[in-house]
Amino acid sequence: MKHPPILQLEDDENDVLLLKYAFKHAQVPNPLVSVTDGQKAVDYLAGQGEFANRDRFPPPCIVLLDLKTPLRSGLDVLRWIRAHPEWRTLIVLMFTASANHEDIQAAYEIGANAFVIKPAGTDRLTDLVRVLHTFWFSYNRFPAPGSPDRTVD
Amino acid sequence: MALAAAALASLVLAGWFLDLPRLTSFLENAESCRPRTALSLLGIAVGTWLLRDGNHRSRQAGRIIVFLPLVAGLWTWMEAVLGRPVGPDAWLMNRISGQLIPLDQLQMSRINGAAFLFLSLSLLLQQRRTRSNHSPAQWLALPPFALSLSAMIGYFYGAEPFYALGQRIAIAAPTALGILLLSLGALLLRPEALPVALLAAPDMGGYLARRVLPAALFIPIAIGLARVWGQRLGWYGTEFGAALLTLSNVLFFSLLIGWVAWRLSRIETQRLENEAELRVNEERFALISQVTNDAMWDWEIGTGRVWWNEGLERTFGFRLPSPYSDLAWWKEQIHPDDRSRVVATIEDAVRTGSREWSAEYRHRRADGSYAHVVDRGRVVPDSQGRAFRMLGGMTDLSSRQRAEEALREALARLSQAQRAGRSGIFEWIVPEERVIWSPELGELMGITPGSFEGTYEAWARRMVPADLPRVEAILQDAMARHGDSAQYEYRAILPDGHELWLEGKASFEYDPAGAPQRMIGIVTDVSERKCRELALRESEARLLTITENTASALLLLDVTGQITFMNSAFTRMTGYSRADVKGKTAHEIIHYKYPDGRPFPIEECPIDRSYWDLQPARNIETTFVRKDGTLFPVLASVAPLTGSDARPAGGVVEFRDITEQKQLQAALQESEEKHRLVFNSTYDAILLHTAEGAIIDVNETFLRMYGASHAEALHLTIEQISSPSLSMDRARELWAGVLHGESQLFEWRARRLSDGFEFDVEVYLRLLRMGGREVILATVRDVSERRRMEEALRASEERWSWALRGIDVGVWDWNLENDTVHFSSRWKEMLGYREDEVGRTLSEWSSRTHPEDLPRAMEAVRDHLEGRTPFYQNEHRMQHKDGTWRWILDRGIAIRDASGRPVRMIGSHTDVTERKRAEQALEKHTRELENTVSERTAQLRETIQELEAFSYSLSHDMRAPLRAMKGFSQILQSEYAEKLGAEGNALLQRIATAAGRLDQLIQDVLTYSQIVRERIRLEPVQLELLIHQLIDENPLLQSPNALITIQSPLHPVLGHEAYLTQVLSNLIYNSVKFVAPGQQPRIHIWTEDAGDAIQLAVQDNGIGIPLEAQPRLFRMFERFHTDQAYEGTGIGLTIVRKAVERMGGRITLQSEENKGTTFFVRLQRPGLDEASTNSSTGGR
Repeated sequence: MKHPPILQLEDDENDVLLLKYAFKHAQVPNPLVSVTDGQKAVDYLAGQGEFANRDRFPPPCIVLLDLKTPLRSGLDVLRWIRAHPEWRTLIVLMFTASANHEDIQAAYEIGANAFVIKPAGTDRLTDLVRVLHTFWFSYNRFPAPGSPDRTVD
Repeated sequence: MALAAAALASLVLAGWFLDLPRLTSFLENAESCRPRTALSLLGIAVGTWLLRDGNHRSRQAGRIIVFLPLVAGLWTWMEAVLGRPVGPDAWLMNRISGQLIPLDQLQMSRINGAAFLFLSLSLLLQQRRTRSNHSPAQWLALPPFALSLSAMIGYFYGAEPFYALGQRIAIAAPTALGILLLSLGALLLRPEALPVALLAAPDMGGYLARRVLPAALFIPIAIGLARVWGQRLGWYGTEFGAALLTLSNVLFFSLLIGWVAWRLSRIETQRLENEAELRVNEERFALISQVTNDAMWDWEIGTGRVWWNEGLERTFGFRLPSPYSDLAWWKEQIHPDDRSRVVATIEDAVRTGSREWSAEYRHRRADGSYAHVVDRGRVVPDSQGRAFRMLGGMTDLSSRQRAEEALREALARLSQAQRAGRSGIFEWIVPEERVIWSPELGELMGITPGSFEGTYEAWARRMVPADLPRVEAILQDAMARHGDSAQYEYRAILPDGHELWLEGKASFEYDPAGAPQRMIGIVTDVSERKCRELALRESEARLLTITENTASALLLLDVTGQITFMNSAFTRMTGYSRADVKGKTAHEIIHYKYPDGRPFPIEECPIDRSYWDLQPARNIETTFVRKDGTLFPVLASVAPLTGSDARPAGGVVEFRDITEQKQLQAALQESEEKHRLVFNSTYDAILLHTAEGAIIDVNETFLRMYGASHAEALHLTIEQISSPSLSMDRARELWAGVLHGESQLFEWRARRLSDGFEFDVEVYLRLLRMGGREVILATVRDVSERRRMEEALRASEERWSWALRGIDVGVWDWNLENDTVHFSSRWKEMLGYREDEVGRTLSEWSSRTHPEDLPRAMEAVRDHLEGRTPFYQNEHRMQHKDGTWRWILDRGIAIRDASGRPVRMIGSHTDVTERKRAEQALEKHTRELENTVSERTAQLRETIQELEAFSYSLSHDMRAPLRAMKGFSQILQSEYAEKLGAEGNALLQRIATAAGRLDQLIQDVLTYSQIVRERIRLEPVQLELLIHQLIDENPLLQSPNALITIQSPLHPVLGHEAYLTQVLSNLIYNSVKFVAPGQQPRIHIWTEDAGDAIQLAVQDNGIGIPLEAQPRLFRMFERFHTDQAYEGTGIGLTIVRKAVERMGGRITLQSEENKGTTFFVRLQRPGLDEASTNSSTGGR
């Protein structure tokens, strides 16, 4: 079965590049789809606009959200996700450079599943990606899917 | 047998008469049976037949007939001896044939003769027996039997010697047969005698003989015959024949004996079994007969002998010498009245062979009394069906009748008892839900006999419904416990609607499984008792209510003086409970001492004396002692009690606590005195008149004021003490007014009695009621002094008034004693009023004061009056007559009497409206200035916040490119290391390191700015836990990288966990970092109790901090080591200090270069409750 994608909201191209690199090195089989602003992330999830084609843009199994992003912030997107019943159980990880206590508090209150600080350095990033992948895909059990195409192998 | 022989003999004789030799000899060429022989045969045969009969006459005839052959035998032998025939037969022969018949033709064979001789002898001796039951007759019959048998066999086989027997004349075949038959007949004539008895015996010998003997007689003969015939026919030779004969014999006899043996064995087994069974039966019978109380008997009818078992002795007391008696004895024991009837029935039973006989009659006992018996018997017939025995048993009915009678009596008694006790018996068969009532119970319950339905429901229905659950609960409970019995009470409803109180007592029976089977019990009508109980209870309750509700204490004393009853009032008054008074006399408990503490001997006790002397005592005033030892006055009464013997038996003591009464009396007395004192010491003169004007009482002041003695005073008239210038009409007018109830206050000119001096008085008259009659109270005050004072004051006032007017100050003078205020004219003027427009009350002031200011002004007055302020001063607004509000500065001071009590307050009143206005303008100005300042401050704060947010945002955004730099340089290093070369790699490393440092710097700045900005809440923190976590999570802080020791336990502190983590990690990391190269960092951490704070210390063995560097240590970006080994951002300690300060703490240090540094962090101590609620999370 085809691995469902992991959707990343990240406006910094460098960070996108670094994460892709880390995914490759950590041998994560799930494709990483990156969008550069919050609206696009919402469009992707809603399957609208340029992401209308569900075959090309299947629903993600995990969403990584940066905090400060153009158009809609990461927390906005998270709020949108939790407001939509079909995405209420979607795994959402906040994935950001740094945060203060209020941000962390806010993210968890809205319903983030984790709050991860991006490490500096590819080796540490790769480590993190490996750990996250191992945790979410090996140890974790996903909730009953809202739609069948969100299952993972 | 005899008849057959007779027939044979007749046949032979007929042969002779008809000359048919075939009939005389049976065989060809064989010897014929002579007529004489035939006659003898006939004779014996007839004799035998006659002798067989028991009839005496025929036997006689038989004997006579038998003599003939005997004679014939003897004759034959005689002829043989004589050698010629003689006798009638010869004659007969000769007559028939007409010729002389030779002797040998006529003569009977000698053997025959011997045989006849034997046979006839045998018949004659028929009745004879030897002592051993042997019959000579039978022995005599044996030789002829053997002879004839031998002859017969001889004829069968054709063997002459066997029938000739060496005699000239052989035995003829018919003769042989006849003799054989007759000898058999003779043998069988008396089968009960030996030796034939052997054959007839019912035992095994007889059985064996009967089976084997015939076979032994006939089988060999038959086989032999067969052999002879076979041989004659030439089938086989002699040898073969002999062998065949032998074999056949052996076979036949073996089979026979085998068969007989098998039969015998079976019979024997059967017999043994029967014997065993018989024995058991016999034993059983023996036992039964031994144990039964019935007299069992066995009557041998033939002999009349009766056997009795032990029952005869046991039941009837007869002790017979042997177990046997005769029938006559039994008959004698029957009551004469019954005897003939009983004997007749038993004889009838024996006669008819009745199997069952029974009779009831009176049978005598050994002591002569008669027992009522039932006697049952059974006739046992012998083999002929004749009654030869009778067996039976006799039962004494008397005991049963007695028991029945006793039972009847008992039942009657029970019934009587039930009736008498107004009770009844019931039985409840639980599994069947069936209830049985005794007739008496039915009677009790008022139902007609037999109409009780017999169900549980019927029982329950007759119960007052309110009682049913309770009774059922008791029963269920008892059965659940497997209890033996239960007791309960309930009200039953009678058909006529009456109610009965019933008391039930029941016992239970259970089956082995424990299920209740039966409940049997008795119910008793306890209505009367219940009524009495209720009445008693009511009466008791009434009494108790009375005793408990009376205010008096009640005691019931027994003759020893001990308390047998006490009411709660007693406990309330004395504090003694029932348990306290046990075993002591009332005197010992409450009356043992006098108020002055002396012991109170019982001999002096009037209460004790009262009930001993049987003299009631009332209102004894004494003191009792409470449990706590205090005394209280009482008024006690004693009612002695007498016992039935009219001797003292204690008494009832009733007493009341009269403390209050005493106090009241004392108070009254005191009040009286007080009033008298007041009456006498008042400043005013007081007179008390009757309505008619007569003086009743005057006080001492009056006597002084008017110069009169008390005796004179009581006879004074109004004229005597008034100035002569006054008209008495006015006095009378006033008097009339007061009599109408109008109090009168007026001024009067009084005259002193002693010297006629006149003075001014103020008189107050009032009508009063005293003890039911009208009196008139006159209060007279000497006002001449006051008049003088007023005059003087007015002058003084005037002076002041002028002075005060000059400085534009109003004056007020408040007399606190009569609450009047004098306001000066200027005071009034300043508020726009004329002199007469303002009264003398305080409200003139308070009503004009602004309501908002009044409370404060009043409070200021009060504060001064109560001595809290040295003078009174207040600024308030007062309303001018024109309606405007004036600001007044009001000041005053109290004048106090000797005891310090304020009696008067005098003050000034200044209009400060102008000044106030100026002040208010100034105040407004200031307020505006302050507003401006705070607005500016807010703006500034906002700017700072924006700046902080900006710096946070900037730092955050700055990290992104740094992360990219670091990331990409690492990618370069890992993917393109070879292409870059050594120098390239080194440069790349520098880029990465620089980016890393900048990132760290930014992170630190972010942390700092967060610590500066954040709002935190302080909570108790377990330091020890925190430090352990820190060390556990960082390998750098663990051995061997560092050696950290913690002096447990560390005090918990009030702080912020994240901040404390920052502080501790920075300090510990610093300590680890700043050590001399090659040295193991050693860090010691402890806390100290510093009073209201906790001091945390982190001590290291590092390189230390130079003294001159210490002041700058906590400033941002200050670094003291350019050395690569001690790199850092220079923010760490700044963060530490800020965090400590944010937690309300302070950080200090002690350091010595190359020795080490100790940082001291003073932190707040958690509150008691906080520390205790959190202490449980500490320690690990």
